[in-house]
Amino acid sequence: MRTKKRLLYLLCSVFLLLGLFLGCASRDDELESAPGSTSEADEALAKAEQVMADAGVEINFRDLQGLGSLADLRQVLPSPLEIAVLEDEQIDEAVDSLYAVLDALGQPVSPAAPILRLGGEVSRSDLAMVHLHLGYLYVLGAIARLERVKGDLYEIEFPDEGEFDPDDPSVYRFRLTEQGQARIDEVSRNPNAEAGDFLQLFSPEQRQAVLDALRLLVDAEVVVEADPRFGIPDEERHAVVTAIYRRDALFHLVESLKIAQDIIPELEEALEKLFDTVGEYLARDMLDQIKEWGFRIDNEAEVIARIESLMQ
Amino acid sequence: MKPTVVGLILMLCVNGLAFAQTESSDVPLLMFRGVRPMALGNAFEAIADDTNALYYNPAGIAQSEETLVEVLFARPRITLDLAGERSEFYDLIDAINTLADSGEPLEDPDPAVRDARDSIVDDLERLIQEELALIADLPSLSMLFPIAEIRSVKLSLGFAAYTQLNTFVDVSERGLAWSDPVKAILDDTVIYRVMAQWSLAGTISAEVPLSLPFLSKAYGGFTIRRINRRSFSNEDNPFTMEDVLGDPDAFAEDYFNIEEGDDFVDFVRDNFESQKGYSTDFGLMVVPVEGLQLGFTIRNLASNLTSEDTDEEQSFPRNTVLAVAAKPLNLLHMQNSMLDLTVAASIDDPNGDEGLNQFSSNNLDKLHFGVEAVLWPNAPLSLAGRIGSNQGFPTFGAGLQLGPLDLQFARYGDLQADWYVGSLGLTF
Repeated sequence: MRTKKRLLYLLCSVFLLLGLFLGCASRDDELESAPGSTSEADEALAKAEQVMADAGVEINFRDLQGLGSLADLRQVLPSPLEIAVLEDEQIDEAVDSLYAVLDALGQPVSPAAPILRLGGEVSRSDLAMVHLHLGYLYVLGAIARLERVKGDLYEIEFPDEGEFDPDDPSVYRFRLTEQGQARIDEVSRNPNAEAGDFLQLFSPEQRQAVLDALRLLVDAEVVVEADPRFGIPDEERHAVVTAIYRRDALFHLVESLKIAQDIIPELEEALEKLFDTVGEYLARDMLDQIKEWGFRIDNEAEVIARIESLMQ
Repeated sequence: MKPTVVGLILMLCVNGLAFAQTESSDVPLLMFRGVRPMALGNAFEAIADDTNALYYNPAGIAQSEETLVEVLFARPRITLDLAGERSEFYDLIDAINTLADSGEPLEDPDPAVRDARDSIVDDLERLIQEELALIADLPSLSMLFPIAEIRSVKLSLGFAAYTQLNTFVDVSERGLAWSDPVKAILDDTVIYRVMAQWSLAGTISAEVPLSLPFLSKAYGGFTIRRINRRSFSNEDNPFTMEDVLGDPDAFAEDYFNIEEGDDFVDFVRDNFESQKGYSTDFGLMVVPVEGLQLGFTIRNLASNLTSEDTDEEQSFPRNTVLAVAAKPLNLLHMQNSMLDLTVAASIDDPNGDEGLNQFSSNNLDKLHFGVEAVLWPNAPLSLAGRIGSNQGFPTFGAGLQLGPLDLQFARYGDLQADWYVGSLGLTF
């Protein structure tokens, strides 16, 4: 009897101990990252999304209407005024994080890797979305730089609500203001005008913004030659940090478009319009105009050929 | 005698555990789990005193002093998620219809369409996190009967014929963890499985009186079951929302292979995979003292499942279980006709019986324990209450035995999901 009591006490102890485990398991810790991703990629993405949300420029399809309204980019793209308040550091951080996502997924993007490598495990929609976000951030970076220092020389046109022309797919357009156009016209009327006469109409910050914006949009190598007579003591080139901005907006939009064609038809039309806006109506327009104002485009033929080939 | 028996048990334990660690598991057995064992957290291998012994520990059937027949009419098991989705499914269908009726489902500013869009995204976001599964054990028959006593060794036979239906739909997260559910769901994989299985099982078991110190009785048993399985699943080639959105026609052709003129019955006939196979279980049970039992089971000691279409051969995961059960009132010589108490625990490895290895957990997933209290255990009307822990997930249940009528209910948890399970049968 005593032995059995001891056995019983032992059993009770064991069961009390086991009882402590009751309900303490969890199914939440199934996998750190889903297949096709890594914890590093997810962390980097979360950081990029957070930065974009904090800056108020996230791309959100949460209500599905976002996906549909992409067909009309003017409903989803922020206005230049909204973009102007963005800090470069915010865009830098978001872009850097999105490249970290691609690196972690084994899809690194570098200037020497023009062809997208699609891994078997990495999902196509993820890649399409990351490239879409990158292209979008590059555009924001370019517009922000131009808008902040525009003064009364030029402006980035953005149609107001109610002024949308369904036949005009452009969203952002680089245009001289009336005052800016008058100044340019005045210089143009001088038959002996030199490049410096036009260039000195731009402040150093405005010239830098043009150089940076075209590098971000289409990887254009635009140069302002040194001419101390016009207050340009040194040659000016873009100041974009290429360690962060590895490619250009056009590249990422095209990569996104290539994938979206197969898997998200709703996105394809919107991407084509965004591509037109960036390539044709913003970058090419700017290139055509700045050429006449004394800016030198070192890789003009290459850039134009690229835009035209991609437009097809 | 003593060294022989102990040596045999030790050898089997060591062999069993070694097998468990070296064999690979190909395909789940889909164990025929009873409501009573489930409410006890599946800690049943050392109890094994009813027809559930046929599936948990074949040694246990020799415990039955008389013939026992169980006719099970139905035993549905449904995940709590699926039970909760019943009304939401109608709302989801309504929302889809609203969008379908709109000319521009993604852009329509109509508040009703906007609400439908919001509702669909909310539903999808929730469904991704849920486990939607239904398991139905359909009519089955189980019998246990003592057949002979040879030199004080009691022999018993068991027989079971049972059918199972297992359906499962899961949206598995894949790719980057976007905070926006629409971006996140595009590459999520959709896996479905519809499986019907019918089996025949035969068991032989022996009770050997030992009369040794701390070893009064031992039971040994062996089960062989024949399994027929029909399954339709995309587990080998799950599809994603990308596939659906990209080219719906190509998607239908690739994944559902529906040809013009085909109806659903043709489709099922053409696409269900047919498999046949067997599995064997071995079980031991020893009684050190009256009221205390130790159990040991190796399920799927040998097994095979062969596809009739491709001749591909698979096996069921070998599962080794060590268990203990006690009746405290018996241990204290306080047994009575009013109340019967049982406590039980088991440890198994691996947890492969239901293909749950895909769900990671921790070492808790090897532990099971349960406590049962039965009021008027041998009366025409008896009531049972049970509580337990299966792999760290709480289980509880109740049972009513009214003459031959047997009603059981449990809330059960495993690595896959939380479930409601009930059964209706006759036991006599």
